[in-house]
Amino acid sequence: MRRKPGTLVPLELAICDAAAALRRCGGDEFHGYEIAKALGDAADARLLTAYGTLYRALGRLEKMGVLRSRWEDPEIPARENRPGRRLYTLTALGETTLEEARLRSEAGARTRVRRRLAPA
Amino acid sequence: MSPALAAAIGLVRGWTRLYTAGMEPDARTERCAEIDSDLWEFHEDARRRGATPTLLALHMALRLVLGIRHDLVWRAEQVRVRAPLVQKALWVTAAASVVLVWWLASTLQGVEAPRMAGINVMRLLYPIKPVASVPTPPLPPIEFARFNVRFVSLLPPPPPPPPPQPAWK
Repeated sequence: MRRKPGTLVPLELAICDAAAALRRCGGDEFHGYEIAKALGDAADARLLTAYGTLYRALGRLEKMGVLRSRWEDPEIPARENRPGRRLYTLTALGETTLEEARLRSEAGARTRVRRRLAPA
Repeated sequence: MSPALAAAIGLVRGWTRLYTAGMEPDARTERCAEIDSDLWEFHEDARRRGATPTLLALHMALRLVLGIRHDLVWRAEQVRVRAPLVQKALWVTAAASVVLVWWLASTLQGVEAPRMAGINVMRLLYPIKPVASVPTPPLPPIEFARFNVRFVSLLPPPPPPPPPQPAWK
């Protein structure tokens, strides 16, 4: 998908939205499955985002500087007997981008409504 | 663990190892570890919610299949990261080709040039230095076909001319 520089595609926007929602609930960091679940809950979808789609989008967002990631301390998964998690955080740039995208979409929606209401 | 679930997990892991094959070890390990973590979290969450293993296996397989296109695109993007190296190699090859062609053209200067339909092939391919060529015979003049158009009249034929009168009458 071709995109304008600095803009987010709907999935990326949804990921940022879900990350912001998780942050509001107190979770500053989230892992891949957590975000897939949050996306599924938000869209009321029964099927979670596909592995390839989700992790490619997360990688793209990290490259754009919207997200930051780190691998958790290996002692924690060893203690809990599970694989290590890659933890993502929404950056300040991510929050700004999300806010801008929201404003843009609201402005776009207003313009569309105005066009629809304009007399022919 | 049910055989269906084990098969689904094996399938996802196998596919991840397959499409990350040949990548830089760090990137490959990270992607595999991330998918492993997702599989574990998904499994645990489904177990807590009481989902049946068959349904979970089906869900995993669907998540795998629906993301294959993105996996492949992601893999292609990873290859593109090494583009500067490929670009350098291309530039070196192009420069070497130019030098080779120059050398070839100067070496073949004294050699009789091959011709195709009277055209000097070497001169056409390497227009660097003029190579002596045999003058080509002039082309024959173009002949245009001539058409004689006959108009067929639908009117009756004109009356025959009157016989010539003697001059003394």
